[in-house]
Amino acid sequence: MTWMAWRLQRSVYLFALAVSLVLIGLTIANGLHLQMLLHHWRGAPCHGGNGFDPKYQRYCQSQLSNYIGARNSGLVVHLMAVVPAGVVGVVLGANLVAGELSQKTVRSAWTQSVTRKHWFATKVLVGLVSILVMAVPLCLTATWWLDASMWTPRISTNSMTYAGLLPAAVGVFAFALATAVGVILRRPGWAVAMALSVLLAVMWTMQFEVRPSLVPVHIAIIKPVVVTKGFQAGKVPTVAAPDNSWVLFSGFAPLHSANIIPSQSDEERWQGLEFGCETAAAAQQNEQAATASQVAHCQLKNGLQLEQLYVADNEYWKLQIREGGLYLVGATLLFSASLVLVRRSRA
Amino acid sequence: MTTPVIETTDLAKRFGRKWALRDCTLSIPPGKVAALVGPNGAGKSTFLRIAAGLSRPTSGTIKVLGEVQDGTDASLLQRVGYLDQERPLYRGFRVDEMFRFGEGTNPTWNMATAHAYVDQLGISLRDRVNNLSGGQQAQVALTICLAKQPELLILDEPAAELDPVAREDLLRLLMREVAERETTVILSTHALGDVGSICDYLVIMSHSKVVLHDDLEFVVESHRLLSASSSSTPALPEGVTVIDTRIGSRDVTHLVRLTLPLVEETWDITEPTLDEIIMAYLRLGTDSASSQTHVSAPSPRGGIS
Repeated sequence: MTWMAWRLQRSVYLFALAVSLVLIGLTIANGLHLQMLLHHWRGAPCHGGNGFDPKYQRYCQSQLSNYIGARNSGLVVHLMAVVPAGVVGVVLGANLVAGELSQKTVRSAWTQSVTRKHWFATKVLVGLVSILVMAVPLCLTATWWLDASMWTPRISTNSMTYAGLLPAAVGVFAFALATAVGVILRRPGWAVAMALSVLLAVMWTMQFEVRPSLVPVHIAIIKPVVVTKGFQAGKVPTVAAPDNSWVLFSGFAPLHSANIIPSQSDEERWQGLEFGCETAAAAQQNEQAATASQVAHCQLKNGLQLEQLYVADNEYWKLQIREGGLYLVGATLLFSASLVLVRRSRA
Repeated sequence: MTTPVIETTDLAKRFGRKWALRDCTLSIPPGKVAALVGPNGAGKSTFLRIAAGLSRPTSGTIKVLGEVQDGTDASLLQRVGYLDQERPLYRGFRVDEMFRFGEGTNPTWNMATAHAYVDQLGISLRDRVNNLSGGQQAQVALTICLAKQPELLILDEPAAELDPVAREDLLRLLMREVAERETTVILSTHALGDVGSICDYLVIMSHSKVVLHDDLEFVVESHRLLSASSSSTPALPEGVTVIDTRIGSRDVTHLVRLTLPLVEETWDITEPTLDEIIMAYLRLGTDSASSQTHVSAPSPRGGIS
């Protein structure tokens, strides 16, 4: 039965595996290239832009633009783990039951000496192992690339889903989702289309609605630094969140507010109050920029403070495990539902 | 008393609002080659799929080899072989891969038998299924059923769409298996010639119901054609049930089922052919210019259902 399950997915899977190996190769090449460019920019004589000799300015600018150009053109590489894992999960899942229902080969399979439960469990197990064998190297490579490219903090929205454990978890969830949809629709083509749509919706919801509530959000108050002379006279906000943290909100909020990300309307309302302070101070002084003390006084009067809500970098693996766990719990529920439907389904 | 290979009580299956099978109560004894005959849409395939565990009845019960069949008992699945009318083989597989599939899913699989059958049929193990002719695909599908060595073989139109040679080969393969292993076979067919030549039990279905089931020999013995001139038609004798009536320009012919020994001199009595009996039952409940239906369907051994 194991051989049978493998044989049915062999062609599609081996093709996907070959594509994955090519992607891994390209990613490693791209990552090494970025590391080299970054090394040139950070090393002598440019020192990462810190205190280089003016005579190297043109050289250093070109080193920086080379690195940024290469990094920007390689940004699509950050998708190289989650996209193949998700697509392969959907394709294998859609064909797992729906492929056999549409070809009517279940009439052969379900009348041999194995129960449908055994048949389904074996096929799911072989599919899961296949997806993990493909996804784990992709995850490792994507994680390494995101680190090597210095593109964005690993815990940020742009990085979180695409590295660590999550691409593999997404692949498993996609597999379970497409299996369940396939059992219901009984047509693999429709199952692929429907499962991809639902998968994208789930991933979007997970990323923007669920993830911020999976780990504690911290607050950092930004104290304005008063500059009394020069072009930037007034107040210059500083970043208060620690390095490499995931900043969820940055702006004005009521004093002593809870660590809850404000709604869009609240954010706009508080921004409006702050803007009112700036305008009033500017009108009173009849100058371009209001003084920091006047603005601060107005903010205090309105009960506002400038703050950042963030998730610290040390929460990365906790967040990976919790979000990945949610995908896996979802996958387990979908497989269970599929099994119930398979046992009740007519061939 | 021997356990029937299939025993149903008020078996029914509904798809949406349409009944595919209704009020199906029958019992097929072991050791028979039973023919399941009926027009398209009569419920034959539905009945066979329920018997094979592929589908569950809407109501009623079915026992196969003495066990309730719901498709969840691996030991029962092991004892039943099923060949679907669409012969759903894995098209991308080679023949030896299909056999490997059979071996991996059946503990009683006999690979030597499988190889011997396809060898006799001139089919290479390296051939891909989708490169085989329809007849060869049917033979490979039947070989998979036979190599499983089941006690009961359920075949849904196994010889449909086959040319005469392929049909002959397939039926010969089947008959050899029956002779060697005494397997009980239930097969649905539209070929009435097959019924008389290879079967010894008959089940006729019409309009989603079983209208007759009995030993073939008894079916022939228990039916007669009664003919008389249409101008002076005598009264029907006692102990007959009219199945079908044909009114010609000069005479009237009734196909009747006997429930009592026939002692009659006013009617011209002849023994009908099996084809005539089957056709008469298939016409039950249908309108025809040349026939009139007089009775409801009889159940085996003389009763009226």
